[in-house]
Amino acid sequence: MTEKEIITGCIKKNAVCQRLLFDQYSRKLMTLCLRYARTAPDAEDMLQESFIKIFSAIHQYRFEGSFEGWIKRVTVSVCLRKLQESKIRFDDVSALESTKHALHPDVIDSLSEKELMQLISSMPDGYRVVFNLSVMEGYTHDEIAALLNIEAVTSRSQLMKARRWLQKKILANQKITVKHAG
Amino acid sequence: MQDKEFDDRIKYALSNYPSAVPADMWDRITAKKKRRRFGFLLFLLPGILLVGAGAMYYFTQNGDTARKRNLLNENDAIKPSVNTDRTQLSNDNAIAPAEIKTNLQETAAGTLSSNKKIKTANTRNKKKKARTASAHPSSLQTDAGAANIAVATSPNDKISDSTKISTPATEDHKTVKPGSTSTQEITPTEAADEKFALELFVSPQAPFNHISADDKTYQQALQSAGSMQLSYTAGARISYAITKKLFVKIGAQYSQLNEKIDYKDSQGNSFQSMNHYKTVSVPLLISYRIITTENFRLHATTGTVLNIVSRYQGIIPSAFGQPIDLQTHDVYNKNVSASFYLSVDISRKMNRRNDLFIEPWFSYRLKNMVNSNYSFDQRIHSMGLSLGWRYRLFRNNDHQF
Repeated sequence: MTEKEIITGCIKKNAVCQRLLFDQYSRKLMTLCLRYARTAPDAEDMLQESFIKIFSAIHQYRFEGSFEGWIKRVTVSVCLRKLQESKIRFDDVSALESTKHALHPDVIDSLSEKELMQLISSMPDGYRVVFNLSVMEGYTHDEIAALLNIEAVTSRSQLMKARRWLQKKILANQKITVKHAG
Repeated sequence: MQDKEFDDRIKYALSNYPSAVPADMWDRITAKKKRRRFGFLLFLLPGILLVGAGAMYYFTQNGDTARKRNLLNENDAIKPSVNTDRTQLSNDNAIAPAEIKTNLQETAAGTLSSNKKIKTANTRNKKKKARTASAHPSSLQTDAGAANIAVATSPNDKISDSTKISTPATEDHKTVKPGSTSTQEITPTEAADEKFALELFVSPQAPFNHISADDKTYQQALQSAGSMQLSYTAGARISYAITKKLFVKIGAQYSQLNEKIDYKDSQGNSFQSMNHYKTVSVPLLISYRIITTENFRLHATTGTVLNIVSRYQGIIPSAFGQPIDLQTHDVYNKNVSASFYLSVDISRKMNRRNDLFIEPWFSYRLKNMVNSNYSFDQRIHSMGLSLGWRYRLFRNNDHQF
Protein backbone atom coordinates (compact mmCIF):
# COMPACT_ATOMS: atom_id res chain seq x y z
CA MET A 1 0.00 0.00 0.00
CA THR A 2 1.45 3.36 -0.97
CA GLU A 3 1.67 6.28 1.42
CA LYS A 4 -1.03 8.11 -0.52
CA GLU A 5 -3.37 5.12 -0.22
CA ILE A 6 -2.70 4.91 3.50
CA ILE A 7 -3.40 8.62 3.94
CA THR A 8 -6.57 8.38 1.86
CA GLY A 9 -7.68 5.41 3.98
CA CYS A 10 -6.99 7.38 7.15
CA ILE A 11 -9.09 10.25 5.82
CA LYS A 12 -11.91 7.70 5.42
CA LYS A 13 -11.23 6.57 9.00
CA ASN A 14 -10.19 3.11 7.86
CA ALA A 15 -8.79 1.35 10.95
CA VAL A 16 -6.34 -0.77 8.96
CA CYS A 17 -4.81 2.29 7.29
CA GLN A 18 -4.62 4.08 10.64
CA ARG A 19 -2.74 1.13 12.06
CA LEU A 20 -0.34 1.11 9.09
CA LEU A 21 0.32 4.80 9.54
CA PHE A 22 0.95 4.24 13.23
CA ASP A 23 3.39 1.40 12.52
CA GLN A 24 5.23 3.51 9.98
CA TYR A 25 5.71 6.67 12.03
CA SER A 26 5.28 5.83 15.71
CA ARG A 27 9.01 5.30 16.42
CA LYS A 28 10.08 8.53 14.75
CA LEU A 29 7.39 10.48 16.53
CA MET A 30 8.26 8.83 19.83
CA THR A 31 11.82 10.12 19.43
CA LEU A 32 10.47 13.56 18.74
CA CYS A 33 8.21 13.43 21.80
CA LEU A 34 11.06 12.19 24.02
CA ARG A 35 13.12 15.21 22.98
CA TYR A 36 10.37 17.60 24.12
CA ALA A 37 9.11 15.74 27.18
CA ARG A 38 10.57 15.89 30.63
CA THR A 39 9.97 12.18 31.27
CA ALA A 40 9.23 9.06 29.26
CA PRO A 41 5.61 8.78 30.48
CA ASP A 42 5.08 12.41 29.41
CA ALA A 43 6.46 11.49 25.99
CA GLU A 44 4.05 8.56 25.75
CA ASP A 45 1.13 10.85 26.54
CA MET A 46 2.34 13.26 23.86
CA LEU A 47 2.62 10.46 21.31
CA GLN A 48 -0.87 9.24 22.11
CA GLU A 49 -2.34 12.74 21.81
CA SER A 50 -0.39 13.32 18.61
CA PHE A 51 -1.82 10.29 16.83
CA ILE A 52 -5.35 11.19 17.91
CA LYS A 53 -4.75 14.68 16.55
CA ILE A 54 -3.21 13.32 13.34
CA PHE A 55 -6.17 11.00 12.70
CA SER A 56 -8.71 13.70 13.40
CA ALA A 57 -6.94 16.35 11.30
CA ILE A 58 -5.52 14.25 8.49
CA HIS A 59 -8.16 15.51 6.07
CA GLN A 60 -6.40 18.87 6.31
CA TYR A 61 -3.30 17.42 4.64
CA ARG A 62 -3.41 18.57 0.99
CA PHE A 63 -0.86 16.13 -0.42
CA GLU A 64 1.48 19.07 -0.89
CA GLY A 65 4.96 18.77 0.61
CA SER A 66 6.30 15.99 2.78
CA PHE A 67 3.74 14.06 4.78
CA GLU A 68 6.38 13.26 7.37
CA GLY A 69 6.99 16.99 7.75
CA TRP A 70 3.26 17.53 8.27
CA ILE A 71 2.84 14.89 10.96
CA LYS A 72 5.98 16.14 12.71
CA ARG A 73 4.55 19.67 12.76
CA VAL A 74 1.31 18.32 14.23
CA THR A 75 3.27 16.37 16.85
CA VAL A 76 5.41 19.37 17.75
CA SER A 77 2.28 21.48 18.24
CA VAL A 78 0.82 18.79 20.52
CA CYS A 79 4.07 18.60 22.50
CA LEU A 80 4.18 22.37 22.91
CA ARG A 81 0.56 22.47 24.03
CA LYS A 82 1.23 19.76 26.60
CA LEU A 83 4.30 21.59 27.87
CA GLN A 84 2.49 24.90 28.03
CA GLU A 85 -0.16 23.33 30.24
CA SER A 86 2.50 23.40 32.94
CA LYS A 87 4.02 26.73 31.79
CA ILE A 88 7.42 26.70 30.12
CA ARG A 89 9.85 28.95 31.96
CA PHE A 90 12.35 30.88 29.87
CA ASP A 91 14.62 32.00 32.66
CA ASP A 92 18.38 31.84 33.07
CA VAL A 93 19.47 28.75 34.85
CA SER A 94 23.02 29.91 35.36
CA ALA A 95 25.21 32.75 34.24
CA LEU A 96 27.82 30.16 33.31
CA GLU A 97 25.81 29.10 30.28
CA SER A 98 26.86 32.24 28.45
CA THR A 99 30.46 31.06 28.59
CA LYS A 100 31.49 29.18 25.47
CA HIS A 101 33.04 25.79 26.13
CA ALA A 102 35.85 24.46 23.94
CA LEU A 103 34.50 21.20 22.60
CA HIS A 104 36.21 18.83 20.22
CA PRO A 105 33.85 17.49 17.49
CA ASP A 106 34.72 13.90 18.31
CA VAL A 107 33.35 14.31 21.79
CA ILE A 108 29.81 14.36 20.43
CA ASP A 109 30.49 11.29 18.31
CA SER A 110 31.76 9.47 21.36
CA LEU A 111 28.36 9.82 23.05
CA SER A 112 25.75 7.22 22.38
CA GLU A 113 22.37 8.34 20.98
CA LYS A 114 20.75 7.33 24.23
CA GLU A 115 23.16 9.44 26.30
CA LEU A 116 22.54 12.40 24.03
CA MET A 117 18.81 11.96 24.32
CA GLN A 118 19.08 11.82 28.09
CA LEU A 119 21.10 15.04 28.10
CA ILE A 120 18.55 16.80 25.95
CA SER A 121 15.69 15.56 28.12
CA SER A 122 17.41 16.87 31.21
CA MET A 123 17.74 20.40 29.80
CA PRO A 124 15.64 23.12 31.45
CA ASP A 125 12.28 23.48 29.70
CA GLY A 126 12.94 26.75 27.90
CA TYR A 127 16.35 25.67 26.65
CA ARG A 128 15.10 22.28 25.55
CA VAL A 129 12.08 23.57 23.66
CA VAL A 130 13.95 26.32 21.82
CA PHE A 131 16.91 24.05 21.08
CA ASN A 132 14.61 21.40 19.64
CA LEU A 133 12.57 23.83 17.61
CA SER A 134 15.59 25.61 16.21
CA VAL A 135 18.25 22.92 15.82
CA MET A 136 16.21 19.75 15.33
CA GLU A 137 13.10 21.06 13.54
CA GLY A 138 14.72 24.02 11.79
CA TYR A 139 12.25 26.72 12.82
CA THR A 140 13.44 30.34 12.59
CA HIS A 141 13.53 32.51 15.68
CA ASP A 142 10.54 34.47 14.42
CA GLU A 143 8.57 31.26 14.00
CA ILE A 144 9.62 30.06 17.44
CA ALA A 145 8.64 33.41 18.91
CA ALA A 146 5.20 33.09 17.34
CA LEU A 147 4.79 29.47 18.48
CA LEU A 148 5.80 30.14 22.06
CA ASN A 149 4.43 33.66 22.35
CA ILE A 150 7.81 35.11 23.25
CA GLU A 151 10.14 37.69 21.71
CA ALA A 152 12.52 36.53 18.95
CA VAL A 153 15.40 37.88 21.00
CA THR A 154 14.37 35.63 23.90
CA SER A 155 14.42 32.70 21.52
CA ARG A 156 17.95 33.61 20.39
CA SER A 157 19.27 33.97 23.90
CA GLN A 158 17.60 30.73 25.04
CA LEU A 159 19.20 28.90 22.11
CA MET A 160 22.61 30.28 22.89
CA LYS A 161 22.31 29.34 26.54
CA ALA A 162 20.97 25.91 25.61
CA ARG A 163 24.05 25.25 23.49
CA ARG A 164 26.37 26.28 26.30
CA TRP A 165 24.44 24.20 28.79
CA LEU A 166 24.64 21.16 26.54
CA GLN A 167 28.32 21.65 25.75
CA LYS A 168 29.07 21.94 29.45
CA LYS A 169 27.17 18.75 30.19
CA ILE A 170 28.86 16.89 27.34
CA LEU A 171 32.26 17.97 28.62
CA ALA A 172 31.36 16.93 32.13
CA ASN A 173 30.17 13.61 30.80
CA GLN A 174 33.43 13.16 28.89
CA LYS A 175 35.49 13.91 31.99
CA ILE A 176 33.58 11.33 33.97
CA THR A 177 34.11 8.79 31.20
CA VAL A 178 37.85 9.53 31.03
CA LYS A 179 38.07 9.28 34.82
CA HIS A 180 36.40 5.89 34.74
CA ALA A 181 38.68 4.75 31.91
CA GLY A 182 41.77 5.99 33.84
CA MET B 1 33.77 24.08 17.31
CA GLN B 2 31.37 26.62 15.83
CA ASP B 3 27.74 26.73 16.89
CA LYS B 4 26.57 25.63 13.45
CA GLU B 5 28.82 22.61 13.45
CA PHE B 6 27.76 21.72 16.98
CA ASP B 7 24.09 21.91 15.99
CA ASP B 8 24.63 19.80 12.89
CA ARG B 9 26.49 17.11 14.80
CA ILE B 10 23.78 16.88 17.42
CA LYS B 11 21.08 16.75 14.76
CA TYR B 12 22.94 14.08 12.80
CA ALA B 13 23.59 12.02 15.92
CA LEU B 14 19.89 11.86 16.72
CA SER B 15 18.50 11.76 13.21
CA ASN B 16 17.99 7.99 13.20
CA TYR B 17 17.51 7.37 16.87
CA PRO B 18 14.85 4.69 17.10
CA SER B 19 12.79 5.07 20.24
CA ALA B 20 10.88 2.11 21.53
CA VAL B 21 7.14 2.61 21.42
CA PRO B 22 5.19 0.94 24.26
CA ALA B 23 3.52 -2.24 23.06
CA ASP B 24 0.08 -1.10 24.17
CA MET B 25 0.32 2.35 22.58
CA TRP B 26 -2.03 1.48 19.70
CA ASP B 27 -4.63 0.13 22.12
CA ARG B 28 -4.33 3.28 24.21
CA ILE B 29 -4.86 5.44 21.15
CA THR B 30 -7.92 3.53 19.97
CA ALA B 31 -9.38 3.45 23.49
CA LYS B 32 -8.90 7.19 23.90
CA LYS B 33 -10.42 7.88 20.47
CA LYS B 34 -13.53 6.00 21.54
CA ARG B 35 -13.69 7.79 24.88
CA ARG B 36 -13.42 11.17 23.17
CA ARG B 37 -16.16 10.41 20.69
CA PHE B 38 -18.38 9.19 23.47
CA GLY B 39 -17.44 12.00 25.82
CA PHE B 40 -18.34 14.58 23.20
CA LEU B 41 -21.78 13.08 22.81
CA LEU B 42 -22.29 12.97 26.52
CA PHE B 43 -22.44 16.74 26.29
CA LEU B 44 -25.84 16.21 24.68
CA LEU B 45 -27.39 15.52 28.02
CA PRO B 46 -26.29 18.65 29.86
CA GLY B 47 -26.91 20.50 26.59
CA ILE B 48 -30.53 19.46 26.59
CA LEU B 49 -30.79 20.38 30.25
CA LEU B 50 -29.29 23.77 29.52
CA VAL B 51 -31.71 24.33 26.64
CA GLY B 52 -34.53 23.26 28.93
CA ALA B 53 -33.40 25.63 31.65
CA GLY B 54 -33.05 28.41 29.08
CA ALA B 55 -36.53 27.74 27.78
CA MET B 56 -37.83 27.73 31.33
CA TYR B 57 -36.23 31.10 31.96
CA TYR B 58 -37.58 32.47 28.68
CA PHE B 59 -41.11 31.39 29.37
CA THR B 60 -41.10 32.58 32.96
CA GLN B 61 -39.64 35.96 32.07
CA ASN B 62 -40.87 36.90 28.64
CA GLY B 63 -44.38 35.60 28.40
CA ASP B 64 -46.43 33.40 26.20
CA THR B 65 -48.52 35.16 23.64
CA ALA B 66 -50.55 32.11 22.83
CA ARG B 67 -51.69 31.89 26.37
CA LYS B 68 -52.57 35.56 26.40
CA ARG B 69 -54.67 35.05 23.29
CA ASN B 70 -56.48 32.19 24.95
CA LEU B 71 -57.19 34.29 27.96
CA LEU B 72 -58.65 37.02 25.80
CA ASN B 73 -60.94 34.55 24.08
CA GLU B 74 -61.95 33.25 27.41
CA ASN B 75 -62.78 36.71 28.67
CA ASP B 76 -64.88 37.43 25.57
CA ALA B 77 -66.85 34.34 26.21
CA ILE B 78 -67.77 35.17 29.75
CA LYS B 79 -68.49 38.90 29.13
CA PRO B 80 -66.86 41.94 30.67
CA SER B 81 -68.93 41.80 33.84
CA VAL B 82 -67.21 38.58 34.70
CA ASN B 83 -63.87 40.28 34.50
CA THR B 84 -64.53 41.99 37.80
CA ASP B 85 -64.68 38.64 39.39
CA ARG B 86 -61.96 36.77 37.57
CA THR B 87 -60.23 35.61 40.63
CA GLN B 88 -63.45 34.09 41.76
CA LEU B 89 -63.89 32.42 38.40
CA SER B 90 -60.50 30.93 38.30
CA ASN B 91 -60.43 29.81 41.86
CA ASP B 92 -63.88 28.31 42.14
CA ASN B 93 -63.68 24.89 40.76
CA ALA B 94 -67.30 24.18 41.40
CA ILE B 95 -70.49 26.12 41.77
CA ALA B 96 -73.35 24.59 43.60
CA PRO B 97 -76.47 23.80 41.58
CA ALA B 98 -78.26 26.91 40.46
CA GLU B 99 -81.51 27.50 38.82
CA ILE B 100 -82.11 30.67 36.98
CA LYS B 101 -85.41 31.76 35.66
CA THR B 102 -85.50 34.79 33.48
CA ASN B 103 -88.33 36.52 31.71
CA LEU B 104 -87.29 39.03 29.18
CA GLN B 105 -89.62 41.38 27.40
CA GLU B 106 -88.34 43.54 24.64
CA THR B 107 -90.59 46.33 23.26
CA ALA B 108 -90.80 47.37 19.58
CA ALA B 109 -88.86 50.51 20.48
CA GLY B 110 -86.08 48.27 21.55
CA THR B 111 -86.51 48.66 25.25
CA LEU B 112 -85.75 45.73 27.28
CA SER B 113 -87.40 44.70 30.45
CA SER B 114 -86.42 41.72 32.29
CA ASN B 115 -87.83 39.95 35.22
CA LYS B 116 -85.27 37.83 36.77
CA LYS B 117 -85.87 35.22 39.19
CA ILE B 118 -82.77 33.72 40.41
CA LYS B 119 -82.45 30.94 42.74
CA THR B 120 -78.95 30.07 43.66
CA ALA B 121 -77.49 28.12 46.40
CA ASN B 122 -75.39 29.77 48.99
CA THR B 123 -72.78 32.31 48.03
CA ARG B 124 -73.25 35.92 47.00
CA ASN B 125 -70.56 35.66 44.41
CA LYS B 126 -72.36 32.91 42.66
CA LYS B 127 -75.52 34.97 42.68
CA LYS B 128 -73.57 37.81 41.20
CA LYS B 129 -72.35 35.61 38.44
CA ALA B 130 -75.84 34.29 37.79
CA ARG B 131 -77.22 37.84 37.63
CA THR B 132 -74.54 38.81 35.23
CA ALA B 133 -75.34 35.84 33.15
CA SER B 134 -79.03 36.64 33.00
CA ALA B 135 -78.30 40.18 31.88
CA HIS B 136 -76.29 38.71 29.03
CA PRO B 137 -78.10 35.58 28.02
CA SER B 138 -75.92 35.09 24.97
CA SER B 139 -72.95 34.65 27.18
CA LEU B 140 -74.58 31.74 28.85
CA GLN B 141 -75.04 30.11 25.53
CA THR B 142 -71.31 29.93 25.30
CA ASP B 143 -71.42 27.47 28.13
CA ALA B 144 -72.84 25.02 25.67
CA GLY B 145 -74.02 21.81 27.10
CA ALA B 146 -74.15 23.20 30.61
CA ALA B 147 -77.38 25.14 30.18
CA ASN B 148 -80.74 24.30 28.80
CA ILE B 149 -82.36 27.31 27.25
CA ALA B 150 -85.95 27.42 26.18
CA VAL B 151 -87.12 30.39 24.13
CA ALA B 152 -90.74 31.33 23.36
CA THR B 153 -91.34 34.19 20.96
CA SER B 154 -94.65 36.00 20.80
CA PRO B 155 -96.13 37.47 17.58
CA ASN B 156 -96.80 41.20 16.77
CA ASP B 157 -93.18 42.19 16.74
CA LYS B 158 -93.15 41.97 20.46
CA ILE B 159 -90.48 39.78 21.60
CA SER B 160 -91.27 37.97 24.73
CA ASP B 161 -88.52 35.80 25.85
CA SER B 162 -89.22 33.38 28.49
CA THR B 163 -85.95 31.90 29.27
CA LYS B 164 -85.44 29.25 31.74
CA ILE B 165 -81.90 28.42 32.40
CA SER B 166 -80.97 25.62 34.57
CA THR B 167 -77.35 24.89 35.25
CA PRO B 168 -77.04 21.56 36.93
CA ALA B 169 -73.73 21.30 38.73
CA THR B 170 -72.39 24.29 36.86
CA GLU B 171 -68.72 23.86 36.18
CA ASP B 172 -66.67 26.92 36.13
CA HIS B 173 -64.47 26.88 33.04
CA LYS B 174 -65.57 23.32 32.49
CA THR B 175 -63.57 22.00 35.39
CA VAL B 176 -64.95 19.52 37.82
CA LYS B 177 -65.44 19.55 41.51
CA PRO B 178 -62.40 18.73 43.58
CA GLY B 179 -62.08 15.06 44.07
CA SER B 180 -63.99 14.23 40.94
CA THR B 181 -62.49 11.41 38.91
CA SER B 182 -64.51 11.68 35.76
CA THR B 183 -62.91 12.50 32.45
CA GLN B 184 -63.15 16.10 31.33
CA GLU B 185 -62.09 18.63 28.73
CA ILE B 186 -58.97 20.74 29.00
CA THR B 187 -59.65 24.46 29.30
CA PRO B 188 -57.78 26.88 27.04
CA THR B 189 -55.87 28.06 30.09
CA GLU B 190 -54.69 24.58 30.88
CA ALA B 191 -53.88 23.93 27.25
CA ALA B 192 -51.66 27.00 27.18
CA ASP B 193 -50.01 25.86 30.40
CA GLU B 194 -49.16 22.56 28.83
CA LYS B 195 -47.81 23.87 25.53
CA PHE B 196 -44.20 23.23 26.54
CA ALA B 197 -42.93 21.14 29.40
CA LEU B 198 -39.59 19.85 30.53
CA GLU B 199 -39.48 16.29 31.76
CA LEU B 200 -36.66 14.82 33.81
CA PHE B 201 -36.74 11.15 34.58
CA VAL B 202 -34.78 8.25 35.95
CA SER B 203 -35.69 4.65 35.46
CA PRO B 204 -34.58 1.35 36.87
CA GLN B 205 -34.88 -1.22 34.13
CA ALA B 206 -34.72 -4.94 33.54
CA PRO B 207 -32.94 -5.89 30.30
CA PHE B 208 -33.62 -9.09 28.35
CA ASN B 209 -30.87 -10.64 26.30
CA HIS B 210 -31.73 -12.28 22.99
CA ILE B 211 -28.78 -14.15 21.45
CA SER B 212 -28.71 -16.32 18.37
CA ALA B 213 -25.88 -17.95 16.43
CA ASP B 214 -25.51 -20.49 13.65
CA ASP B 215 -23.19 -22.45 15.91
CA LYS B 216 -25.68 -23.59 18.53
CA THR B 217 -22.92 -24.64 20.95
CA TYR B 218 -21.53 -21.11 20.86
CA GLN B 219 -25.04 -19.67 21.21
CA GLN B 220 -25.56 -21.78 24.31
CA ALA B 221 -22.15 -20.79 25.70
CA LEU B 222 -22.96 -17.10 25.27
CA GLN B 223 -26.39 -17.49 26.80
CA SER B 224 -25.13 -19.39 29.82
CA ALA B 225 -22.09 -17.10 30.33
CA GLY B 226 -24.11 -13.94 30.85
CA SER B 227 -27.00 -12.89 33.04
CA MET B 228 -28.51 -9.42 32.73
CA GLN B 229 -28.58 -7.34 35.89
CA LEU B 230 -30.62 -4.41 37.12
CA SER B 231 -29.82 -1.44 34.90
CA TYR B 232 -30.91 2.15 34.59
CA THR B 233 -31.77 5.00 32.27
CA ALA B 234 -31.87 8.72 33.00
CA GLY B 235 -32.72 11.58 30.74
CA ALA B 236 -34.52 14.76 29.89
CA ARG B 237 -37.25 15.48 27.35
CA ILE B 238 -39.04 18.51 26.05
CA SER B 239 -42.74 17.98 25.50
CA TYR B 240 -44.74 20.09 23.05
CA ALA B 241 -48.53 19.96 22.82
CA ILE B 242 -49.69 19.80 19.21
CA THR B 243 -53.30 19.71 20.32
CA LYS B 244 -54.95 19.50 23.72
CA LYS B 245 -54.42 15.76 23.75
CA LEU B 246 -51.52 15.09 21.45
CA PHE B 247 -47.91 15.72 22.43
CA VAL B 248 -44.54 15.23 20.79
CA LYS B 249 -41.46 14.69 22.89
CA ILE B 250 -37.76 14.89 22.13
CA GLY B 251 -34.78 14.71 24.40
CA ALA B 252 -31.67 12.81 25.34
CA GLN B 253 -31.17 9.85 27.57
CA TYR B 254 -28.30 7.84 28.95
CA SER B 255 -28.65 4.15 29.66
CA GLN B 256 -26.36 1.69 31.30
CA LEU B 257 -27.16 -1.97 30.88
CA ASN B 258 -25.31 -4.35 33.16
CA GLU B 259 -24.53 -7.98 32.48
CA LYS B 260 -22.71 -10.37 34.75
CA ILE B 261 -20.36 -12.69 32.87
CA ASP B 262 -19.22 -15.87 34.54
CA TYR B 263 -17.91 -18.84 32.59
CA LYS B 264 -15.13 -21.40 32.34
CA ASP B 265 -13.22 -22.28 29.21
CA SER B 266 -12.52 -25.85 28.10
CA GLN B 267 -9.37 -25.95 30.26
CA GLY B 268 -11.24 -24.98 33.38
CA ASN B 269 -10.03 -21.38 33.55
CA SER B 270 -12.65 -19.19 35.13
CA PHE B 271 -13.58 -15.78 33.69
CA GLN B 272 -15.78 -13.28 35.46
CA SER B 273 -16.74 -9.75 34.58
CA MET B 274 -19.47 -7.17 35.04
CA ASN B 275 -20.12 -5.91 31.56
CA HIS B 276 -21.49 -2.43 31.00
CA TYR B 277 -23.30 -1.39 27.82
CA LYS B 278 -23.56 2.38 27.86
CA THR B 279 -25.65 4.24 25.35
CA VAL B 280 -26.64 7.80 24.60
CA SER B 281 -29.92 8.01 22.71
CA VAL B 282 -32.47 10.50 21.49
CA PRO B 283 -36.12 9.59 22.12
CA LEU B 284 -38.58 10.78 19.48
CA LEU B 285 -41.99 10.12 20.96
CA ILE B 286 -45.62 10.90 20.40
CA SER B 287 -47.98 10.84 23.35
CA TYR B 288 -51.77 10.79 23.47
CA ARG B 289 -53.75 11.85 26.54
CA ILE B 290 -56.34 9.21 27.28
CA ILE B 291 -57.77 10.31 30.61
CA THR B 292 -57.87 13.72 32.24
CA THR B 293 -59.12 14.38 35.72
CA GLU B 294 -58.61 17.23 38.10
CA ASN B 295 -55.36 15.84 39.44
CA PHE B 296 -54.42 12.92 37.24
CA ARG B 297 -53.50 12.43 33.60
CA LEU B 298 -53.01 9.20 31.71
CA HIS B 299 -51.02 9.17 28.49
CA ALA B 300 -50.09 6.43 26.06
CA THR B 301 -46.73 7.06 24.47
CA THR B 302 -44.95 5.42 21.56
CA GLY B 303 -42.10 6.17 19.23
CA THR B 304 -38.48 5.37 18.60
CA VAL B 305 -35.38 5.81 20.68
CA LEU B 306 -32.51 6.54 18.31
CA ASN B 307 -29.17 5.39 19.54
CA ILE B 308 -26.45 7.96 18.93
CA VAL B 309 -23.46 6.19 20.35
CA SER B 310 -22.69 3.18 22.48
CA ARG B 311 -19.71 2.11 24.49
CA TYR B 312 -18.97 -1.30 25.92
CA GLN B 313 -16.87 -2.56 28.79
CA GLY B 314 -16.20 -6.10 29.87
CA ILE B 315 -15.61 -9.43 28.22
CA ILE B 316 -17.55 -12.05 26.34
CA PRO B 317 -16.40 -15.56 25.45
CA SER B 318 -15.13 -16.16 21.93
CA ALA B 319 -16.22 -19.25 20.03
CA PHE B 320 -13.08 -20.95 21.44
CA GLY B 321 -13.74 -19.86 25.01
CA GLN B 322 -11.11 -17.13 25.16
CA PRO B 323 -12.34 -13.82 26.60
CA ILE B 324 -12.82 -11.02 24.08
CA ASP B 325 -12.20 -7.59 25.59
CA LEU B 326 -15.09 -5.36 24.52
CA GLN B 327 -13.04 -2.18 24.87
CA THR B 328 -10.31 -3.20 22.48
CA HIS B 329 -12.41 -5.26 20.07
CA ASP B 330 -15.30 -3.86 18.11
CA VAL B 331 -17.65 -6.71 18.94
CA TYR B 332 -20.67 -4.44 19.14
CA ASN B 333 -21.60 -1.60 16.83
CA LYS B 334 -21.00 1.93 18.01
CA ASN B 335 -24.46 2.84 16.83
CA VAL B 336 -27.05 0.17 17.44
CA SER B 337 -29.79 1.91 15.49
CA ALA B 338 -33.27 2.41 16.89
CA SER B 339 -35.54 0.82 19.46
CA PHE B 340 -39.30 0.77 19.43
CA TYR B 341 -40.68 2.39 22.58
CA LEU B 342 -44.05 1.95 24.22
CA SER B 343 -45.20 3.33 27.55
CA VAL B 344 -48.09 4.45 29.69
CA ASP B 345 -47.56 7.55 31.75
CA ILE B 346 -49.62 8.34 34.81
CA SER B 347 -49.03 11.80 36.16
CA ARG B 348 -50.17 13.53 39.31
CA LYS B 349 -50.65 17.26 39.07
CA MET B 350 -48.91 18.83 42.05
CA ASN B 351 -49.72 22.41 41.11
CA ARG B 352 -50.20 24.47 38.00
CA ARG B 353 -46.56 24.12 37.04
CA ASN B 354 -45.38 20.78 38.36
CA ASP B 355 -46.36 17.17 37.82
CA LEU B 356 -44.86 13.96 39.09
CA PHE B 357 -45.21 10.94 36.88
CA ILE B 358 -44.52 7.26 36.71
CA GLU B 359 -44.13 5.62 33.36
CA PRO B 360 -43.92 1.87 32.90
CA TRP B 361 -42.27 1.27 29.52
CA PHE B 362 -41.03 -1.35 27.14
CA SER B 363 -38.27 -0.97 24.61
CA TYR B 364 -37.68 -3.39 21.73
CA ARG B 365 -34.37 -3.19 19.91
CA LEU B 366 -35.00 -3.31 16.20
CA LYS B 367 -31.55 -4.25 14.95
CA ASN B 368 -28.76 -6.67 15.76
CA MET B 369 -26.11 -4.86 17.80
CA VAL B 370 -23.20 -7.16 16.96
CA ASN B 371 -20.57 -6.26 14.40
CA SER B 372 -20.90 -8.41 11.25
CA ASN B 373 -17.37 -9.77 11.80
CA TYR B 374 -18.65 -11.81 14.72
CA SER B 375 -20.68 -14.95 14.29
CA PHE B 376 -23.63 -14.26 16.54
CA ASP B 377 -26.58 -11.88 16.79
CA GLN B 378 -27.61 -10.11 19.95
CA ARG B 379 -30.39 -7.73 20.88
CA ILE B 380 -31.08 -6.43 24.34
CA HIS B 381 -34.69 -5.44 24.97
CA SER B 382 -35.72 -3.73 28.17
CA MET B 383 -38.63 -2.87 30.35
CA GLY B 384 -38.56 -0.34 33.13
CA LEU B 385 -40.37 2.11 35.30
CA SER B 386 -39.54 5.78 34.85
CA LEU B 387 -40.05 8.12 37.76
CA GLY B 388 -40.13 11.68 36.64
CA TRP B 389 -40.87 15.32 37.14
CA ARG B 390 -42.65 17.47 34.57
CA TYR B 391 -42.20 21.21 34.70
CA ARG B 392 -44.55 23.30 32.56
CA LEU B 393 -42.89 26.15 30.76
CA PHE B 394 -45.14 29.20 30.85
CA ARG B 395 -44.67 32.66 32.21
CA ASN B 396 -45.44 33.49 35.81
CA ASN B 397 -47.44 36.67 35.21
CA ASP B 398 -50.27 34.64 33.71
CA HIS B 399 -51.23 34.02 37.31
CA GLN B 400 -51.89 37.71 37.86
CA PHE B 401 -55.56 37.97 36.98
